Amino acid sequence: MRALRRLGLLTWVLWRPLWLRALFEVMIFAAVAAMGIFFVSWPLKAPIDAVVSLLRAPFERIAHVPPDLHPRGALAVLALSPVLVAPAKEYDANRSYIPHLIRVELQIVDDLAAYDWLAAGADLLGGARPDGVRVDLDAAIYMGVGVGDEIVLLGAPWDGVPDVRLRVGGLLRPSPAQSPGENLLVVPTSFLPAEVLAAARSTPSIFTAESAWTVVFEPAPEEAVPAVSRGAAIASHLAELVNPLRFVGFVGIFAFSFGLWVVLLARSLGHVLGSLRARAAILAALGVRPTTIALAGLLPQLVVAAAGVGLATVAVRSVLFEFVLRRSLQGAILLPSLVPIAVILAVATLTARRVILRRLRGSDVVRDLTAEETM
Amino acid sequence: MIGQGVPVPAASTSVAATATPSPCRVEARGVQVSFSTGRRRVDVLRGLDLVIGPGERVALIGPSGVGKSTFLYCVAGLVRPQAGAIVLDGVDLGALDDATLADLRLRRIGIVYQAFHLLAALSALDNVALPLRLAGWGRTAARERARELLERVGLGDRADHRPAQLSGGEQQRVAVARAVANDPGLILADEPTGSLDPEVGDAVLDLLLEEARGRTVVVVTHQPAVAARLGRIVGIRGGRVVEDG
Repeated sequence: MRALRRLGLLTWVLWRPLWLRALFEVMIFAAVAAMGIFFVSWPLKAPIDAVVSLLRAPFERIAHVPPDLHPRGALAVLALSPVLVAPAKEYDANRSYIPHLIRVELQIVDDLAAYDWLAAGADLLGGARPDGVRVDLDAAIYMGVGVGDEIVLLGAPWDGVPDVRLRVGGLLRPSPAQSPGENLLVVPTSFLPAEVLAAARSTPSIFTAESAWTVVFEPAPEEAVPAVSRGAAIASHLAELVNPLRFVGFVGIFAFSFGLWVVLLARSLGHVLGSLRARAAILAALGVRPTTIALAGLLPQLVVAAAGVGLATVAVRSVLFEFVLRRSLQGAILLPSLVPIAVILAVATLTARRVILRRLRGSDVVRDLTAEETM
Repeated sequence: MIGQGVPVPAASTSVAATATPSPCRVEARGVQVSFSTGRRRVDVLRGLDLVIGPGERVALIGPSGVGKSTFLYCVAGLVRPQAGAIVLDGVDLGALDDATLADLRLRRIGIVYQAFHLLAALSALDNVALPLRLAGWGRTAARERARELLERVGLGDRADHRPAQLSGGEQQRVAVARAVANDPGLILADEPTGSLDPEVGDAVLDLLLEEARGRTVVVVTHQPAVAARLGRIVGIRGGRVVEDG
């Protein structure tokens, strides 16, 4: 802790004359990187939407859950919003889905809006056919909740596990293999017509004994998901990566983050060896270890580099997750792809450190100290 | 003892609790230093031998370029001789790694420069407090002691001023306060009055010698009047000691 405090103090002392410029550069980097990532890496749109939803949720009576929102995010939105609207996500027949179950109890302060949504939902369900306990829903599923209603949220793909068929609150979701349409269902029991509920309750295979609105999901037969080797899966998904647009985006993210980082590294090094050099010499003469001065000189750049690598990692994860690999296979690709970057960053940083250390030893320091200008 | 340094007080420790400095013994044995300028090699120190006892006050005199300052920075551990040894309190500085040497410099050696070398972005108070903070003092205790030191050098009312707001003499007084902040046993001064007019220079020298009481002092100067104020004058020429008395 003491060493960290000392490093912080030295960084402050060393960079103080340039802190405004350093801050400006970091902001420029962050802004440009954010823009680059936003435009180049459109897979990040979903997380951004999630953040926006979270920010909007407390101020809206009706929360909008982006289709790609992770269940944890949906849960947060639910916790902040009185009413939830969950649009269906376009079903992709090439992907497999596993439901993620979240049970949320909502207390509606004012059920007026909920009543409206109930009415809207009833209209939508006008075509629902209670016979056979199957309802074909359109592109969207709406929900309405009453005071104290309990709802169930389903969604979020968990790749790498067998597909399932869902039975939700008495509604049997069409099997993806049969009729693709939707995969995210939010169904309160109050939403269901009485005859549907009654019919469903009489069907033990659909409802559990404890609760009429408990979601029941059944794994599909094993043969529904053919066994694929990891190698074959990677190969087939890598073919997707070769898509020129995505490939350009993928490379662009790296080039962008990495290029900017290199520029910042060069500028940090330039500062330490240039305008900050005499200051570093004074610190060396005062008795600060050369390695500590080098670290303090590179610290702002290292922080920016860490942020850059973090952004790149998020982007890579998004790209891989969205287009390339099943989640269970991400580790096999993500880690190896980040290792070279980490190695290059480490080598570049150590080289910069060595250059600084060389300047902090011997005659260079003395030359700076015998210069006549005040630092 | 080298490497032990001054005790590091806790943040609440009184400034009066600092240790009494133990003066250093400096010994130079056949010190050789040369620099390369392009293809040309310049031998600055050519086997310099010198022993400075604890508490001695020594002036190094000689024309420009004879290696006075280089020797001073050798003693400070900032220049490593190509041959020979600098021994401080029985410890060969050449045997220490960079980190240990830096720690030694922080706790046992105070340096005063001709060009002051205060950090322009820091106030006088923070300049004096910096070596204390680096030595592990808490912020409050360091600033308290720094304020006391500034009052001792007559700048208590200028503590919050930046170097650019101080005169040359005032800046050098701040530099003296900074040099003695960690109670070092050795004070090295490289032309401490070289940038000051004679009157101010005399005052700064008075202050330096007063603050250096009980410590070993080595002053590089080309001013006979300054050298005369110190107890021992060592003349250097051609990279060697040619006069000692």
